[in-house]
Amino acid sequence: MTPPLARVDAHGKVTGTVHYGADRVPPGLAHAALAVATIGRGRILRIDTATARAVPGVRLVLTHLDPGELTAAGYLMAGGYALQSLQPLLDDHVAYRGQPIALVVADTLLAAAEAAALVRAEYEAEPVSAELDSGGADTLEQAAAIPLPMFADVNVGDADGVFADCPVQVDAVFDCPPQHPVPMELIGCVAEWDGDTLTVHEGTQNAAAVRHGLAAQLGIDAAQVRVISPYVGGAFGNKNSLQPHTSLAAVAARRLGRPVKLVLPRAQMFHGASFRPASRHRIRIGATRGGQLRAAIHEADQQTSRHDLFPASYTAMTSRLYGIPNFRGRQRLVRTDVQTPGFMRAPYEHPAAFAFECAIDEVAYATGQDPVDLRLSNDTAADPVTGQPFSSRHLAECLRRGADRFGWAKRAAEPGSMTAADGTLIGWGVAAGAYPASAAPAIARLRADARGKLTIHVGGHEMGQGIRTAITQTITGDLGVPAGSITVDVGDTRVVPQHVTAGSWGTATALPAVHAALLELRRQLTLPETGPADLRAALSTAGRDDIEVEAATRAPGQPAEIIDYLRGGGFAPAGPEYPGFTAFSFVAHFIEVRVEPTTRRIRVSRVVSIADCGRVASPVTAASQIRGAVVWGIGATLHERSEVDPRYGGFLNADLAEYVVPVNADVPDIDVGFIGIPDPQLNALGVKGLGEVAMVGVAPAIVNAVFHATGRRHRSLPIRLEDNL
Amino acid sequence: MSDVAEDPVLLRDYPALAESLAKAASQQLRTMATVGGNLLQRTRCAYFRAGAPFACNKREPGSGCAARGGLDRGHAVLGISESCIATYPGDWAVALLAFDGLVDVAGPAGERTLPVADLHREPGDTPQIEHALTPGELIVRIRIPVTVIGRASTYHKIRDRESYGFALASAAVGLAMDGDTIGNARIALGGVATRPWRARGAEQSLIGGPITTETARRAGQIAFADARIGRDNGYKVELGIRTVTDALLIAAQRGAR
Repeated sequence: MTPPLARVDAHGKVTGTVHYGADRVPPGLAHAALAVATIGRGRILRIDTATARAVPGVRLVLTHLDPGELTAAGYLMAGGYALQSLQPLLDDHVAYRGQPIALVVADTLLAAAEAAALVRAEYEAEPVSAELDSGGADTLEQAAAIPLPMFADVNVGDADGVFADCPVQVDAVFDCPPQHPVPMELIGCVAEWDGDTLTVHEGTQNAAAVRHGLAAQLGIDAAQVRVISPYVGGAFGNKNSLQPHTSLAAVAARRLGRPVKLVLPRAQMFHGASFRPASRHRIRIGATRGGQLRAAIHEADQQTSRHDLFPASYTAMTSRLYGIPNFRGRQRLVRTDVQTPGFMRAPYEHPAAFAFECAIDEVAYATGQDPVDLRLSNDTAADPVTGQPFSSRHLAECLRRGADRFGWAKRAAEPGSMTAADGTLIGWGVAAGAYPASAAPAIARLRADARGKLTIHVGGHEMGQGIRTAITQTITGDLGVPAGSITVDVGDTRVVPQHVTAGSWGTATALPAVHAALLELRRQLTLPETGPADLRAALSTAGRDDIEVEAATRAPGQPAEIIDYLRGGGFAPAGPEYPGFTAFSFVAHFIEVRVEPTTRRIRVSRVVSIADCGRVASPVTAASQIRGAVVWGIGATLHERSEVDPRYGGFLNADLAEYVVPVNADVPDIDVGFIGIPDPQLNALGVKGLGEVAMVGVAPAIVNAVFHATGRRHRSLPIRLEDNL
Repeated sequence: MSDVAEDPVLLRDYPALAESLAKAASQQLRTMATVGGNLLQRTRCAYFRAGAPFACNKREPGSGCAARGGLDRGHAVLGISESCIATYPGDWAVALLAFDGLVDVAGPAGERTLPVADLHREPGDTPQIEHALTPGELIVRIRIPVTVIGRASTYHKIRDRESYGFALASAAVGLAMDGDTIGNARIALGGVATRPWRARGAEQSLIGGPITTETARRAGQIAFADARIGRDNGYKVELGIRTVTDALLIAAQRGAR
């Protein structure tokens, strides 16, 4: 085992030498800014751009494009490429407040922003339905609205019948607010034409969708579109599709014959990109008096837009968290007047775990069981939904190890029974989490030369999760070559295809391809399959200056043709159900909160998180992933809510001062541990996803700790000061 | 701001003033910000800041107030009017108000001095007029009377996170003990009013009595006796009372040292 590498790009990031997509400043660059709709729904009657055009330096104002110049790219979750089906500037329809109605391009950013603010529109406004409970919001049964097996209701056994007969019943409703991912790097792009070839620099998790989506929108061949996304300054799902404005920048660049940069200001990030939709969960759990879970019913309502069905998938996790023999899951979609919501870190699993794991805590108290013991006694080795085994499942060990490190045995069960000398209430909470272990096909191309340099091009995106470090760690561990000799190229469509990096499948997708390329390199150089390799000597023996090999890998059960589909820009993740097994990552969180006696401020004071993500590919960045996810969980539980004024629609607290995320002072030391047992069924390296499962269960662990401290059950997030007075 | 917040004399003689600066902004902002500029920090009311489509009498006199009946969780419960409920967001001015701070102002007509108490205005029918400075005037100096009451003082700030957040309720308080009874008390409130808010009735209620949880809480209740609540900000009354209670007890502890 080679020693854990520090983040390979840390120095570059800290010193500012790393360049993000919109950092690029090509000669002749023009700057674009969007004017956006101020009504929540309706129609544009008239747009006055005269004042905007009169601003010195303004070169172009676009308000309406015809299909000959631009078409919609289609919704990502319906076979297309984009955040949503609605492409702004194609018609006069306004679907949500903040929808772009004009693009202004000028010689300077200042002129573009000034002019965009001067675009005036007259509207015919219609009533807005912006929230789950708004009149006019339409509720659809998902199973009928999206007739695909993966989004169907879950029905195992007779959940309703068995629940009715259970002596212990918990029945509670939990609410999660809309939230925004607010990555530090704003969403933006630089679009440049060289003849008929378009190059886009953009911080994206999905260079493939940007490439193939733009080609479709502009009516050109995908071979004429190159997308370069070497670094992404945080994504969390916000950058996993073609953004609605990227094509506008491309059109403007083509019209002007100049490169165009468009970066969304922070307020527009709240309306011009995806968000975590509001959701509501009714959880019913039936148990024996001894704490054996017999039945569970999870019914979820989730917000979507008028124009798209963002699917709900909350019950896929809750039906697998324990060995509950009778389970019914039903999901509904509520159409509201917003941009299409999307995937935000642990998109379904965080809200689902909040609801389900808080309900499990209620079962523990109702049965007099210790919350850890209750979870351990309801563990399962087989997937209750399919009946097939889990490829690996070490949740019980996560719980046992976490309890030990946290000192759980010293916990007094009674709420309000642990206090500090100054009257501060202390609460200890626990929760478990799971997340599908998905994977996608990938191609890796590896080049080695006689000077000892290695360059790897692979499908994947560096969003700060540390994919470069994990790849470097894999290569240096395999060949025994120094990390400094390895160059990792990701997020670039020019060499190998780029599949969207999301859903915690990035590592389990890229690393097997890298590993396969290493094996191919060894084969071609007639080196043994494992052990340190002297590449220079091997190249010399072979009489070569350099060597380039390529390998393609796919998820278990995927057909060989999936590689061609990948090359064509297809969306091709697999899991969590594979032929013969089901694969999930698991986690357990133990959290201490302290509640002030008078003003009742809640502070998270201690966290122990133990994860089962298979083999840990990069210990340093993996631990960092967990810490970041716990911070996300703290924010989601105690701080973050995208505020909606139902009279207007849109989001009101659309900046980093008012959209409250945790600061350093809100975050305690986070003790991180890994089980570290490889999952060889999923891939040759035995790695499972981590970035999302790490957040799952943080919220209920905090909420359960608050109950333990105060005796008060909170069923709506975030818990704010006024909720705890 | 950071220079003043770290001043050893201020830390010793007026911890409330130093704390109000330290809690007013992140380290980076404190390093760049000035103590004069901070006094006139404008409201965080989202309806004021966001522009169209929201009506705002402060931004566009006569247009109405979208905050009334809207998302008013952060809005004021003291000093509000029909035309405006926007909260004064600052901390430093609240602490200065508690201790009778003065500002020296220079303008085309020369220099003048006005109490911090006269610097900010309640919105009334003219929320667009926020302060008593005339065009062309600059704050050039801030003066604070030296008084023993500053030593047993604190600025207690309750917000949605531990740092980089505006007050939901805050209290600048000082106590001068005369044996076991309170000889003098200062209480000013932040985060709950349309301007820095001096609670003189609450101060008076304490004088001549002991400092206990009960007397402290009663002072808090008096401070909020005239509160008028809206849709989501009713909690500010109870939170504010508790903030005053805790602040007084912290100040009393400092006085006892």
